[in-house]
Amino acid sequence: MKKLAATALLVIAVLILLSLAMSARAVSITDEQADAAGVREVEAALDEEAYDILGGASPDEPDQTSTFKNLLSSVRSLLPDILRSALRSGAVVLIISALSGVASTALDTAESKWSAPADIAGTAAVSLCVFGGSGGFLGTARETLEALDSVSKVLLPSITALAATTGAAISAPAKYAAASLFIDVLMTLSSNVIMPVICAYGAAVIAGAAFGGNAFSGAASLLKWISTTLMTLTVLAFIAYIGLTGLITGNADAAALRLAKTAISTALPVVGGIMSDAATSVLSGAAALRSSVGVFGILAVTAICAVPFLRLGANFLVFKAVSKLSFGSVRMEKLLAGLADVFGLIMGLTGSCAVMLYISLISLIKVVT
Amino acid sequence: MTMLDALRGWIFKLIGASVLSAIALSVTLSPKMKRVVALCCSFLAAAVLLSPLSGLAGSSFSLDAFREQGSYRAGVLEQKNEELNRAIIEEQCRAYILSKAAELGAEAEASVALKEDLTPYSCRVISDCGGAVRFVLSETIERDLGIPLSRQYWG
Repeated sequence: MKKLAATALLVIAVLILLSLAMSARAVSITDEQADAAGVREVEAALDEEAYDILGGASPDEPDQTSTFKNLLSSVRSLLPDILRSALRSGAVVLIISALSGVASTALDTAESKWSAPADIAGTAAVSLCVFGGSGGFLGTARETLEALDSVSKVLLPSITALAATTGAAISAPAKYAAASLFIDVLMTLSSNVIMPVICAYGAAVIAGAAFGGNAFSGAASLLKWISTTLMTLTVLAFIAYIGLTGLITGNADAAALRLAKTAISTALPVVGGIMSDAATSVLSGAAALRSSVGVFGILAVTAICAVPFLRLGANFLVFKAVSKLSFGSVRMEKLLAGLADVFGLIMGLTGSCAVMLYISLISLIKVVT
Repeated sequence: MTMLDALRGWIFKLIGASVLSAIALSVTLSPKMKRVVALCCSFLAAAVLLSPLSGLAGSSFSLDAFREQGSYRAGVLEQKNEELNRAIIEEQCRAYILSKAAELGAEAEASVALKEDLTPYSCRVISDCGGAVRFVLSETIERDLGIPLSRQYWG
């Protein structure tokens, strides 16, 4: 009897030790998979501002709710300064617009030849106010695009590897290839074509406001159309390509997965059970990591774009509002509306890259096993 | 050349083309000639406007190269997963032998080696159990784990 009790105690002790070992093993499985998938590099690729916005979170944390909360609270804390800055710019521009309008009206007589120079001076002052400081919003947009590009170069391979090992062996590399190609195309287009076209649009708007007439408005419309169309076409082509890739390669993934499952089930029953448990542990670890890294990636892209977007958006709204208060001067109204459109185009450019990254990450996270 | 330098150069080229066109139009007196000069100036402006596109001609976008990059990292992770799988199966087979030994009232140490397809190949069991217990344990290992007696090493 005593021997039986001792044996039972021993068996229970072994089982408890085994379960502890499995849970400790589960933690080390995820750590080792995170190292192999390059998840640590994702954290290192973030710039300091984005890292602070995310509250120093890590991509392999299973629960990213706290990361999301950090993002929201950081954005909330930055918003008042951004709005204040935009309103300050709007107020300065409004004052310049008013003074320019008054000067132009006062000098607009038969004897005076200073009405046009007054308009030019007002336009130049507004343009300096918007584009004169700190390399301007174009520099910010360029830095944001570069940050998104460098994060995508480590994030996408990492999550592609995790998706490939959790049921998307065929489709994940294909989607990664599509995402990387289109992001590369957008980066090249933005630096070689879209940014210069946006600058030219701004220049055409300023010249049109300074010199009057309709000569520059046609050029401005064309330039705006070129930049908008290029961005729209790139994003639409990307969405179509990645959608088709998912459809075409989805069946191949399912077939590959069925084959793997059949191979396991033909082993000895006890061994088959052990192998199945092991495969499930490894697969679950990779799937959990895929979800957490994917969610972290989406939050990281949001953190990179948050401040530039808010700045550009605030300036866009303020300048649109100020353009309606331009004291009856049609030139000044067109100038301010045109400058608001420049902010809108820059937002569109950074937004295009962010949208492509969001779609890539979501399509790689959403793997059906 | 940085992007801002390229941008600056392009803007200066545009300004230069505009100034040149304005000068050309102002020195042309005949209306007929003015139309011709205006047409030439518009071609010049269009060429300068589209000159950044020539930068794209040297770029190469290769889908296959990106696909290889994506497969590389997946291959590294796949290898790691196989290592983890192997380690877990070895550990679980070892734990199974120990639990069976414990059921028979024997203390033992065990290690298991796997084949390439991750099924058990051989095992080493160190135990001071008696012959009868060893016989039963050995049969259990052969039946449940598929390791024949010839590949069970007892110490």
